[in-house]
Amino acid sequence: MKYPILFFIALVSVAAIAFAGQVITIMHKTTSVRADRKFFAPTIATARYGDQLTVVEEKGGWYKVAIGKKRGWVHNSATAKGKVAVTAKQFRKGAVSGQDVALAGKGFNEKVESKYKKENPEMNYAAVDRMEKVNVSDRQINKFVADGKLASRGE
Amino acid sequence: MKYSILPAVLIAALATGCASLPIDQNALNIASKVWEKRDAIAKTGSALRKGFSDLSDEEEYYIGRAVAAKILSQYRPVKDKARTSYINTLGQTLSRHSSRPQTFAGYHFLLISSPEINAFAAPGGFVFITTGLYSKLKTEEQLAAVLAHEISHVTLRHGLSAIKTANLTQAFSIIGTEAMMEYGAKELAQLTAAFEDSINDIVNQLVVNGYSRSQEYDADSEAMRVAWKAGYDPAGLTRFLSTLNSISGKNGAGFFKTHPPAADRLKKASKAMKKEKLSGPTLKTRTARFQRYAMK
Repeated sequence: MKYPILFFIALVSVAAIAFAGQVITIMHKTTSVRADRKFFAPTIATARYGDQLTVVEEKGGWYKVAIGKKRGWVHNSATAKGKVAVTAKQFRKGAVSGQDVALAGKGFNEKVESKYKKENPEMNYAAVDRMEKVNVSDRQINKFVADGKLASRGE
Repeated sequence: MKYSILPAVLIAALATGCASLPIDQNALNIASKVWEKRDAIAKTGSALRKGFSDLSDEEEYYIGRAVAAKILSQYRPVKDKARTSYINTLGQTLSRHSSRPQTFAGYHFLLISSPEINAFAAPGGFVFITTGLYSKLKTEEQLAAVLAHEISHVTLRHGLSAIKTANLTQAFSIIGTEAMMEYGAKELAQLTAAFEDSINDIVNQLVVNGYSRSQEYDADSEAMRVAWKAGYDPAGLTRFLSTLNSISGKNGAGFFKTHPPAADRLKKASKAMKKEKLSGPTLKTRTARFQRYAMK
């Protein structure tokens, strides 16, 4: 082939575009929508559990998504492809049909935890809740890295 | 994991060359397989699930919360806002350099009050360090090594792997293939029983038996790389192990009971670090920062 590099670039571009327009569902409690494809990039919005977002572009394990009027990147580890009804509300609204999936209320979930808690009142869930409430912002992390002169060797 | 076991594992892991690229690649492969499987499960919503790696991030989170709740019913959390903020900022900086930068509800770190030298990581990212261990740390690099090791147990899903297959099989068969929004009372009771058994499996592994040698080796290798990637001197690990080794010499209270001598491991770890060219400076500025949060 005369121009193998151009062919490769074209192939990658087609693959990236092929996923554009598809929908992904956020499968984590929350996830940052970032300005760039890096975990240290600024957060421009926060996507929440069950949010169904349209993909604009896919690159290196990251999806560029439209969220409101903004566009940014979410990592695929926080997502599932397609529409997934993860909450009872989505299930009731009939947000799932055909190839879509309903996971609402399945598996080890809040309901199982609630029963487990009742049966095991000595478990210190209050302390776990407090532990989860400790929040570290991107700004704090960036300051911590800068103050400690931590030269990242790649994410 | 039990920190009494960590030193042995860390050094032995490095000694056998586990800190090399194949291990890092192994971690990435595990993460990648889990993500692929998760997509498949989300698509089918099916009971094709067989093993711990088929648990969703959400299920892992609820399991982790229960394990954490059990640990915190045995250990008192330290109410210290400044230190809590410090270890959480450091831990979250490290986690972003791991093979699994995000979990269902993120990584959380907590100091627990106990003179024993120990640390635990519950599935989903709940990490605990005893004041006994914390008080032995001398630099931020050493704290980074300890946290990175615990993060690695989470990224490699070692806690989940402790769940006995029978308990998982039972849970998966109850969950079934139906688009079940609400469980019936019978199903909920059965699923909660399987959940409870799973929690006990994990806590037993974390607190009583400890992980297998190979799991510790893998966690150690990952930890070295994570700390190094974040910009730390990976030798923080070996220095902390030296400290533990000297303590072990004074009172061998179970420290290296199931592992080879720490001195041998330390030697091999240093060799492995050299081989992998994992090095970096321990900056005074970071040590000075750590001193502000040190525990005498």
